[in-house]
Amino acid sequence: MKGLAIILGIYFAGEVISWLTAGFLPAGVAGMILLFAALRTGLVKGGDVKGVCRFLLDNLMLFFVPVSVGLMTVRGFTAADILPLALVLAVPVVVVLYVSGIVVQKWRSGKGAQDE
Amino acid sequence: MSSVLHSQPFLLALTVGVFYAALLLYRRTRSSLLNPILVSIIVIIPLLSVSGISFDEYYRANSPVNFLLGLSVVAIGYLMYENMSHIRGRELQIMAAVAAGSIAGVLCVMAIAYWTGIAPEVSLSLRPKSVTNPIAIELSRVSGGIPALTSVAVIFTGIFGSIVGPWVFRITGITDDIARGIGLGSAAHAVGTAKALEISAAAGAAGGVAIAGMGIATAIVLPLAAKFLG
Repeated sequence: MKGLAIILGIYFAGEVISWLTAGFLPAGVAGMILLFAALRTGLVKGGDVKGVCRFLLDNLMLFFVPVSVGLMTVRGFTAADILPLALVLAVPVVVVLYVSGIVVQKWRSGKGAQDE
Repeated sequence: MSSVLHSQPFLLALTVGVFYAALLLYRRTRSSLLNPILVSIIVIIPLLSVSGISFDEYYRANSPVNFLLGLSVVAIGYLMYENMSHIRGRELQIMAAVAAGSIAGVLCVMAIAYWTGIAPEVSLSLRPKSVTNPIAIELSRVSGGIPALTSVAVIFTGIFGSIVGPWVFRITGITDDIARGIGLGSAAHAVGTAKALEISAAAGAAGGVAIAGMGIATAIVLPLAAKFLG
């Protein structure tokens, strides 16, 4: 119960931050940063929120079913859209895999090498 | 009978029941094509159409589930905290890698959408597709995208990224475990992180940090990209 109260309180604080930044940071993301900061500084103890966070994370997939069913309201795609959509779905994934991976790898072999 | 079908308990039970059955099917077959969410959508949409229940009505009845979706974004802060201890001393390079991945991913979607003439709201929906679904849905909604389209694109991205990831790393010579974990977590969120866990525990933890980092980075990148590039 304590964990749920903490998470709800932080979600609300995220809502306030989102409002203060005129919606620049969505409430959930602001709340996520706040929870991380609170855990790092020891303001919130990991053990207190572990149960409720594990419940939310373990059942995450269920939570996006209703939103995804909204696909039934999406209209207007034709056969001509298949190739552009396939490209825009596939290519960025490969780019992100490479870019994020190579930054860590280069950083490590360059600057990090002497630390190990 | 019809009032029963339109009741909140039925529509909530429909979501949870169908998803649970789809999850059991997935656990039995372990086929990534039988993604439990995709299977749930394929079952629920025709059921709603046949029984004359509109999406709005279904979505409103499922507001408790939608609230938990928002709350689960906060819980990702815990995931980041839990995994952070595994990457101690490498925080800076990981932040840089995730930020670079987020910028590259968003720009890449925008460029391809521009060149191929994809509709603006579809482009807006696909920009956050490497981000973990609960955050991607929220980012899509606030930036004028179609959340349902985002959700499905995120699922495909996860499956595709975790399949091509090892192949991309082999070709480009990315051999470091942490680099692979960060790449998979950044590009393919939780599905990629599950793949990273097969490499090593450290790669999996790096993927967990990348999931949260990608959400934060993309939340900042998206409005800036929309402002300066449209």
